[in-house]
Amino acid sequence: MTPVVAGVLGTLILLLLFMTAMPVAYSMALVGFAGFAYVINMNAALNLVARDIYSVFSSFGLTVIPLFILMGQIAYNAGISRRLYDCAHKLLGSTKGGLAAATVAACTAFGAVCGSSPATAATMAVVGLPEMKRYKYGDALATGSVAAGGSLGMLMPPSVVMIIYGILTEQSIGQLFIAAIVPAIYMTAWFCGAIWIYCRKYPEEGPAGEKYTIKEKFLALFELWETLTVFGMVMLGLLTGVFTPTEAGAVGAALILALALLRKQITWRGVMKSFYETVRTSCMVLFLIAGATLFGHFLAVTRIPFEMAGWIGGMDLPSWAIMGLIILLFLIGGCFIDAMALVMLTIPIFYPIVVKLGYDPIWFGVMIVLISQMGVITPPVGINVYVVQGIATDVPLQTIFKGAMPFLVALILGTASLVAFPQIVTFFPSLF
Amino acid sequence: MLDQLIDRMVGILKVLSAVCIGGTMSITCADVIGRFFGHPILGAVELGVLLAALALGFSLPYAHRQGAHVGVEILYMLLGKKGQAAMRLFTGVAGAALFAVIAYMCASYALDMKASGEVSMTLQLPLHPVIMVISGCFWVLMAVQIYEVIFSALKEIVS
Amino acid sequence: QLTYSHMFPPTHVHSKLMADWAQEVEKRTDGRIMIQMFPGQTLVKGSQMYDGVLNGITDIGMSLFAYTRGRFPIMEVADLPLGSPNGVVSSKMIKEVFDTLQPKELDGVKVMYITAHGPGLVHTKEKPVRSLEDLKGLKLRATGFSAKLVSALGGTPVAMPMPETYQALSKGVVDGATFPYEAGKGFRLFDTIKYTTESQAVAYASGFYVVMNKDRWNSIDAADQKIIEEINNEWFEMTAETWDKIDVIGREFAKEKGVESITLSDEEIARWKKAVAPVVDEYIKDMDAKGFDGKKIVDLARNAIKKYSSM
Ligand code: NA
Ligand code: NA
Repeated sequence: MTPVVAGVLGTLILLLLFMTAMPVAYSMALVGFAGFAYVINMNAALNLVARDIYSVFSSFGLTVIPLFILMGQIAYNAGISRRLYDCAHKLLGSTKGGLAAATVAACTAFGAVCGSSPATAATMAVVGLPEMKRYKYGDALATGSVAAGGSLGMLMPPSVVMIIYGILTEQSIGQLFIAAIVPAIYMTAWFCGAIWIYCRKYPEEGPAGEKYTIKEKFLALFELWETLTVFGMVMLGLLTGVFTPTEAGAVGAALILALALLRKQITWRGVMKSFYETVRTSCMVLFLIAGATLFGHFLAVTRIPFEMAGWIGGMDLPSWAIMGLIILLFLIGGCFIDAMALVMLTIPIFYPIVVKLGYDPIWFGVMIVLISQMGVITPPVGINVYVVQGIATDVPLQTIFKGAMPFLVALILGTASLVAFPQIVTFFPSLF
Repeated sequence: MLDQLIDRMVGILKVLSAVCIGGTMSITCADVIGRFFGHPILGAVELGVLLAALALGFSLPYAHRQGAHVGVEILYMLLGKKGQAAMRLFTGVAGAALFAVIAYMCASYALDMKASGEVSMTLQLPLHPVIMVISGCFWVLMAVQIYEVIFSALKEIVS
Repeated sequence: QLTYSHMFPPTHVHSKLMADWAQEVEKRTDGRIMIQMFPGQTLVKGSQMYDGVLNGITDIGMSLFAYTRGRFPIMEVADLPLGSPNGVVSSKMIKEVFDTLQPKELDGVKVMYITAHGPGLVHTKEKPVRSLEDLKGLKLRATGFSAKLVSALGGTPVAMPMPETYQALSKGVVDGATFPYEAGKGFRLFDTIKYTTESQAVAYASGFYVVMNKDRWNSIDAADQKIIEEINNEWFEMTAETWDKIDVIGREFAKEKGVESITLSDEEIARWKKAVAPVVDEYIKDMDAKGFDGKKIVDLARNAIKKYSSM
């Protein structure tokens, strides 16, 4: 059995294990371990398991995940998220799916302080899901919008994948960040469009609420002050260089905790509950990432990602077709492998080809973030979907994947429109 | 009796985990404030990361006990009661075996690290105790898993 | 069939050089030895590289000694501010230390070759550093040994991973950083840096190793081992020269970006040297405590720098 065959077989076994109700994180770790033992050897695989787990648990970049989740938990237990959604309801609730659209927009805004996609999805799930449920939103739409919203958080700078792309291709990270702002807002609009169409088809998923007068709406805005203060302080701190994006999670959590304690909105019990929920959810997310890392290392030694990328790169096709194939590879590859690993493995092969085809490197960087984010909501390995399910434990996984589907379609169509009209990406940075 | 013992142990680890994550938050914030006034805390990044690693280790049994980990049940739902119990037994044993491997290999990794003299980059703190603690948490996780398998799946199959 | 992992991004010059090494081995052994590259930490993280080679997760690995502090006490001598002027001298120095002392710390593996990068200098964003006084209170990104260097010079070291440094510099979380010219281009740091202080006299270098799993090495037959050793010798030279070549490119890039290069006066250099002396003394004391002859190691490195600088 060649490594490539072993890789395909391993993936099939993983799919089978997935359906046995065994936790996804455990399944990926198990198959990754066994596969690595087969392709390399048992001793190497045994050592790999311990090292991968420790390196994920002690990863500097991933510490933002527990801290942002903590921020969301405190906001929830202090009733801050409740007031936030009450306000959003008064402003947008009279439109079908209005709260889902507000959630998606909030994900994009939150992405401006958080550079990680699962962290955005987790935080927004903690904050938004109970509130959308309160306003009788369907599970599919509610969970789908936070899972998919996380991918917009990644597109909105700062963004981990974009920094990696910038270093890999020696492009200015600052230019990439500037270039990503407009597409992030543009894709948010596509997501809102998806919600609108979805709610026309399934009106019960995003019921319209009562109408409020202009005066009531105006007064509701004042309810936002606490959230806006914390958000504004974190943004300001980031922009003026008081702290780094990785530190933003800790600062945000501490600020919101201080605010809630000061205004006596949270009890000691509530604080403890927030912490316990945080470690529970963080453990789920990081074990998942550890499992995906192990499985990813197995796939890497089978060389499947390299072979596929080389195969596409070697084809003699018109430029749009090559772009299409690259998107397709990320779409399929993203079903099984972590976005960051996929970027690292394939960009060196694709980048020279894409530049030779005459595409703008900055534009391609934005595209890579977009298409790598499709994978976080596609089955079977859609990390954001799992993250959301770990928080909304009563919602079946299939429902979340189903709910994410309209957003996936929006992502694909939106991406295609950026291939057709690259100016949407390149115009804004050209002003600087 | 055994039930209480396990819950007790998981509960203690849960509290430790919460304390550690609170520590990561506090140290990072203290560093940010200190740096603002020109006095950052040397090695705050390392301490924050190590505390987070400990927090994740300590949370393993609690998260497992709470059923925090996501699973897909398509095949499982198609089975009968006995079949489901058998499948739980199978995945339970596979999981316990995985945890045993991880726990054992983390311990061996910790000993390797100790022997190599490797320390953290700035504060030169030894790293092996953290890995050893994570190993210990995986042993507890394995014990919890075995306990669950024996008392739920096996019971149903026998009855 | 061997696996070769390293931490450089796949598009980096060193990445290509390592891939060339692999191809050369394949060619000269007539394909008896085939090598697959895993760049950019896709298989093993930089900080776990040595351990990964020891345990066979990867057969060959390349990384930085400084990532695993305490594991390579002798090879860490290169990280001291000994003032090596360029990458060739740093590399020859670290090679001489290795060849002379044959340190036990590398016993577990087969060493292919060891090099060291060009001088790590002080770069700042807003405030030009022309004297020690200018450095006072400046926050500079530095980890491990270079953190000690920054403290000794009167600055405040702030630790963070290299990829994050760009963002931190551009937003002003730190006022500057220590790194060789080459990294200023590779990590896009010269987009934000405005001043480079040519502090070669107190520059540090960092050692990079390429090592192979011992069992794997022993499984290769003697004739092929000899071929690989020959290639290693050639690649040692090429890699050492490459460190300087990319430093030159980095320097040109800095110039293009309008970075001002600041030369220190002779008396200022003397002050800087005096300021960093305690860092070296501390290393000697630490090594003595561990049962090594600290002074002998430092002298060996110092003399090697002197010898190769004048060549
Ligand atoms: Na972001
Ligand atoms: Na996916």
